[in-house]
Amino acid sequence: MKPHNHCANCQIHHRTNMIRLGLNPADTAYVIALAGNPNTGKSTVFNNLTGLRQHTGNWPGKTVARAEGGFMYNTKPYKVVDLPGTYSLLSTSTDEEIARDFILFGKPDVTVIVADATRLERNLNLVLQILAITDKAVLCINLMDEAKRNHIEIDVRTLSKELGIPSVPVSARKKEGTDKLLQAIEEVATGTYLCSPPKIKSHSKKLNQAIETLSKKIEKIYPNLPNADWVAMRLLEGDNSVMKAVRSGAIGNLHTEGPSILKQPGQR
Amino acid sequence: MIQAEVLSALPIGEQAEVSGISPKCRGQQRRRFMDLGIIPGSIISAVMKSASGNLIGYRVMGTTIGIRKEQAGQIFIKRKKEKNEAPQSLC
Repeated sequence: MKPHNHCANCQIHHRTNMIRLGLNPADTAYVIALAGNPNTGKSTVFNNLTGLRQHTGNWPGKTVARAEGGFMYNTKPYKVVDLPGTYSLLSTSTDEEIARDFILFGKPDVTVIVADATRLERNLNLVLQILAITDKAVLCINLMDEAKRNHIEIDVRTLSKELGIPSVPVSARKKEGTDKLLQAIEEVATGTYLCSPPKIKSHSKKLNQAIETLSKKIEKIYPNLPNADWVAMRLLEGDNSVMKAVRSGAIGNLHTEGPSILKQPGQR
Repeated sequence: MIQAEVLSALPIGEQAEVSGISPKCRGQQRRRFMDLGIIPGSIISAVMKSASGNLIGYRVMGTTIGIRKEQAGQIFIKRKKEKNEAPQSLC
């Protein structure tokens, strides 16, 4: 980030530059999705960002539909979408589907992946799955206070380097780390930080060939579809909901409707 | 080859290492297991039992998940030989 003046490097400057817009986001410049495992504090992060008081609870499965809010940061309006927690993007339950459809087809400018610092290993599964779909992501390692209490140390820099995305330690409950998170979100949204997540390719030549053949066909029918490879992989795995979406053409619609689904919360 | 033990045979309070998932378990169910952290090498322990005994809570990678007996029977485990008190594993 290029500092505009000396103040730009100071956290206090940024804090004053952040205006919580609550429920009424103005015309948004960027859309941010909050994703992550169940019970990692997504809604707490959401409330910190928007100033809303979305109901938070310390049990998994609290957010079933998605919630939306907004904030201004460095004079740019952002819209935040709080998604239900998921272990995976490949599963079947409704709440997981909401999260998946949004990350896949809602095309958020930045996907903030909220991870539990005390259960990082489990959380990284979803991180890699999200990175297979989108490059523009920020890892928000939440519950750092809890990790500290349990004597867990996290090498955030190395993690960030290996994942190719910014990683920010946060204690959302104590409202610590929000400044750094906002900074990282802005850098990814504006393209100042170029994410370079590693692409995990299967070792099987046959599988890669099958994916390639299939994704070419998919791209022919739905030329604007992002992540055709991912869809191809799901088809090969026999994912019923993706098969249905491809058959009915809903996959193509989801893409073109991208921004408009955003405006109708609760409707998919 | 050693006859593999299955997860459903693991008594409450004991710990084991996942060695694999039965080839009979395929598709989304297999995927689900893997997403929940049941992959070869991960440490799993049986922590609680439902009243009926059919549903058992297993702790894996820091989260307790409930698995039915039939499904637990499709997960292969290796039991640790030495019986040292399991240290409070965090991950």
